[in-house]
Amino acid sequence: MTVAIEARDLHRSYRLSRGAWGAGARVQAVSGVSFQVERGSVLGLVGESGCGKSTLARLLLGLEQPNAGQVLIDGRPVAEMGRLERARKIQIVFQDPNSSLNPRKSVLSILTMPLRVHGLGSRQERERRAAEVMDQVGLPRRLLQSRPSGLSGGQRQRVAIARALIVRPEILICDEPTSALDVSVQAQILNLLQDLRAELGLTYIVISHNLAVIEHMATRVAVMYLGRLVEENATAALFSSPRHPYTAALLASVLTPDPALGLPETDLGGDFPNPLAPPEGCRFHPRCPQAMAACSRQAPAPLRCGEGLVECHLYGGSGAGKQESVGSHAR
Amino acid sequence: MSAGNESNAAIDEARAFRRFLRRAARNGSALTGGLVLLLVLLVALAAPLLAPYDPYAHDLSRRLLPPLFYPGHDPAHLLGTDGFGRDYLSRLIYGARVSLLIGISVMLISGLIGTVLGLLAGYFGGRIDQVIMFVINTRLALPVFLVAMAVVVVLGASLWGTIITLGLFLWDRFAVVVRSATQQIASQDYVTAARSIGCSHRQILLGEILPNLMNAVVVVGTIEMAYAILLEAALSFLGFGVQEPTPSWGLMLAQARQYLFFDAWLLYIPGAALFLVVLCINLFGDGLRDLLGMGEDT
Repeated sequence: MTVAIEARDLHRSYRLSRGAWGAGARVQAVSGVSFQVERGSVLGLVGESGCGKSTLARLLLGLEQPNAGQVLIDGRPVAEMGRLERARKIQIVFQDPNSSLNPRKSVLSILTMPLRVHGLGSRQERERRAAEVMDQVGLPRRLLQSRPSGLSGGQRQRVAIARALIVRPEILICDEPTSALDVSVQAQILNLLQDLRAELGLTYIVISHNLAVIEHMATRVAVMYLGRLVEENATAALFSSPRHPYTAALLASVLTPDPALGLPETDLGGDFPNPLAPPEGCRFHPRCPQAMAACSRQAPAPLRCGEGLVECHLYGGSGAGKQESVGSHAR
Repeated sequence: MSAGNESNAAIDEARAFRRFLRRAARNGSALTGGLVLLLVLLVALAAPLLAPYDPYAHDLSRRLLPPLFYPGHDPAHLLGTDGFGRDYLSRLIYGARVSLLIGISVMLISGLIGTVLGLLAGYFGGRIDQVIMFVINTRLALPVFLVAMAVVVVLGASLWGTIITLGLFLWDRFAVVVRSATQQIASQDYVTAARSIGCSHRQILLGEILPNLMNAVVVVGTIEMAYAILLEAALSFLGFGVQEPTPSWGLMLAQARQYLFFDAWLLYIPGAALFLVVLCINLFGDGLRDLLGMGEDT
């Protein structure tokens, strides 16, 4: 298998503006994220709101430049690619199809815009291609003349997917592809995405806080907390035996359909920490039920653990109370 | 695309347009304002055909004739004559030309300046935004009458001088409104999508953002047009705007001042015309704002 997209130690921080002359504080949105996604596989990215998922997506798309580190697509740094070349490699589907389609344009004009920008084909060819993607995403061609306001939420999301696919990208980032849709439509969109992946050989990065979506779609899962990946593993392994306490808490927080069970207990307590002043040592330690003395002093290093990676003192030898070898945890 | 789809699109367009017209017909202020404005515009365009006399022709033997609703009027001069014996109706009709010319040209010039500045400030933000906001604040700190006076002193007073002075002055509201609307639109996902598709900034500004701004720009345009007409009248009244013998409503008001006590109609006829046009522009703009619905789809 070849690597389709790779992130190497990405850092991105923003300066909070305090007016024209104020010196702003810096907020570290992404700090040291690395991963590889194999061609044709699906990486699920989970984490709470504010953990840096969307910033990571913008970095991968090349819409923003990282402060440090780089993104490689097919082994080439994205920063060296031109605007158009990059667009033909990687595209994105947004969460809310109400805001991702220009209300002033017809579906046809929305779909042919990427082709016009890339200077592909004549007018007839562009319209034929638009009709072709409409078929691919399962929309009737007559909707080409409609405006987004005349479509249902599910139809709009299909248009957004069609627009992303019309330039035949290799990688598709799906940023919460179903969370703005009705429950009845969510499954259809997920199945459509699965079918398209098989049909077109796409690589996906699916960002979601819905663990069911991730479990359904992803081949591997990366868990993000406060700008860092704390655990990364194959989907089945991660869901059956989460290693990082945060992953375990996330999995435990999923609501069950049985109302008699009540709200799940997560032991997480507290709120999401202030990203302007991330905690010393391990970023998760103030909320961690298994925190040890070392956790507040020293940030854990990423540790290879069987097939995956975990970033936690529970599994490291370095000064942590619980001395265990890496091997004993790999199942 | 097939012929069927083309005609579908045409039908859709026609249907949407008819729906717009129906809503316009129900919207009283847009309808009234629009119709009166259209009438004034037609009168201004057809001034040489409609005006009974040459607006510049003096006839000192027929000075200060009263209009038709006063006793002792002359049926040949429906609105009477002014202090030089010029036909008042003809001057009023030609004055509509000056007012509308000024209103429309000032709106176009200031609309262009303000929209471009607002777009750049709202879209790029950061340094560019700071610089443009500084320019806007500087502009707001300048008193229009003092600058107009300075321009008259340096360049001399003329119609085009007035238009350019006002055009370079009244763009601030366009800039502020367009800037904030652009900020709001630029945060929408379709702008991010356009960027990830590979659109250049120019393509995004012109293709994605500007079409969504046009409603706001049109509404601000009507406000600025009314304001420009009023300002022209004020400048001309003070002698810094359009100069004699060009028939301008503001100038007519200025000259009528000396007859205020005995021939008040010289004052209130151009005053009423000015009032009517400005009122109708504002009504029209108001109705347009409701019709274009700011967010409501047609």
